[in-house]
Amino acid sequence: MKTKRFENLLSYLVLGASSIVAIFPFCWMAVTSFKQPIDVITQPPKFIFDPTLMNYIAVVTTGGWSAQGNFMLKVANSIEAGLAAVLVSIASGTPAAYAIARINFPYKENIYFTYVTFRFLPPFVAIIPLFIMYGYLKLYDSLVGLTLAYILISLPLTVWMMVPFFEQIPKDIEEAATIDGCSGFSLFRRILLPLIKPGIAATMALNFIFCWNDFIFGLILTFQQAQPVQYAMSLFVSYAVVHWGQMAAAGVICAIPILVFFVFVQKYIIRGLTFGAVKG
Amino acid sequence: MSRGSLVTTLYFVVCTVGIEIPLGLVLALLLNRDLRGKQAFRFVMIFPMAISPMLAATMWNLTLRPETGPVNYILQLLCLPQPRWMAGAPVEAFATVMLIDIWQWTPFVALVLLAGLQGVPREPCEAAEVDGANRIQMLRYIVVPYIKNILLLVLLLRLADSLRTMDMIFGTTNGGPGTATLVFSLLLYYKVYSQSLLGVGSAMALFMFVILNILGVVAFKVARQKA
Repeated sequence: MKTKRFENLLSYLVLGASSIVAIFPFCWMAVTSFKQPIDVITQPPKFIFDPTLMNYIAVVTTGGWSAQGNFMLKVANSIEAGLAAVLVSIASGTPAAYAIARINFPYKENIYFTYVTFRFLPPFVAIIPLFIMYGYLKLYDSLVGLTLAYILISLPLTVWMMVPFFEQIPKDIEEAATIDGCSGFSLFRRILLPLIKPGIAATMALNFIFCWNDFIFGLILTFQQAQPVQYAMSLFVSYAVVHWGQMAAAGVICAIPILVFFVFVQKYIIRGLTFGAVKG
Repeated sequence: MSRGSLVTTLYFVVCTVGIEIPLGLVLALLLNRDLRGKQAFRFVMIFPMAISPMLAATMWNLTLRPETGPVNYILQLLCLPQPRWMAGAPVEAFATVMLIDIWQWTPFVALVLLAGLQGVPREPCEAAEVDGANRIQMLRYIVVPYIKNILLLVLLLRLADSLRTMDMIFGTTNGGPGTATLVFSLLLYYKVYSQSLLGVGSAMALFMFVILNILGVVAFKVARQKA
């Protein structure tokens, strides 16, 4: 009994320490973003200080030190391209997932594997051809181009997120609906879609986060006009700079969608990252 | 130079994945115990894998500043040596990027393995306990065989992600000092972007694609076999 209590205490200690390590950098960044430049570089680091919003104001109005213009425009770029990609992927990916989960057709496994391959795709394999094509199509540094690139992230993610949702629905429901005269597309729309509505919502949120988190596509396929938020933030990063506060403020803005959707998607993030193989 | 980056990548992959898997297994075993409030730990540990590697780089840039960062301050209070982290010598910089990768992805390994551990039935473990097996034997002969597939899956995923790592290193050391942390993907980026060598870049990307696709085939087989 005594050893059990000791072991539990030890587990709590280890897990507690890991949890602190897991969120400490974010907390520190959040604190730094409210500091005045002089408070940022004190030694020892200050924990009590006069909070200020000047970092946020600088980042939001002029782009601060990065001199790239209003950070909110980059946020808008990311939101627009992300939302467009999510809508396209949900509209086309959900029926695709249904087909993979329920219908038997030739080369089904190969097609499913093709979707899964995107989890293992080195981004440059897609980026180099896109970069060349965008040059011809005048899509370089445009939101349309960025959206098309984001669909490469969100469409496979939609498929592999949705397949387990469809597999969970008992086959009896579909059979009963078929007997009652509901089949084909109306079966899908009237019976199955309402059942997986929560799954669709979670997938949309996760898709948006994955697009928002993308860095490499934005880095190569945009320059200034359609610059997404991660790219804009990376311009603040440099270890020769003194404007730590602005860098922290940009970082906090980058974390906002994740914090907003966190409770909502935390159940599904493991499934998203393991191409649907692990329910989590 | 290219060969150098392959070796760097290999070091990076072996070091990060080699630490993440055992560490993640330990955390998963702890999370699998009957502890009150373990949902809270799980909740917090999701955070690192939900943020982008670029944001992770930004956070750690702030936290690990050599002169004025909180981590070095704590080390100073504990009278421990204070490394210069990403701004330091090649070994220090390499260890720093490694640590950030481990920070970000160990919780992922832990939570995936936790999902596997929750599927391990209790009866064989109890039977083994009655027969006098110790903890290590139980882990080795009962638990690991049960979660073998999921262990292999997470290993393949981590290998693939680790091989592709670019953004986080781009945001912290940018391949430096010298070429100490210049991994393959980062070199590929410089070939494509700074030197406009699209042909070389394509060849390198294709090389990467073949390796990752092999990992993908195996992972897909493992995942479908389980279902």
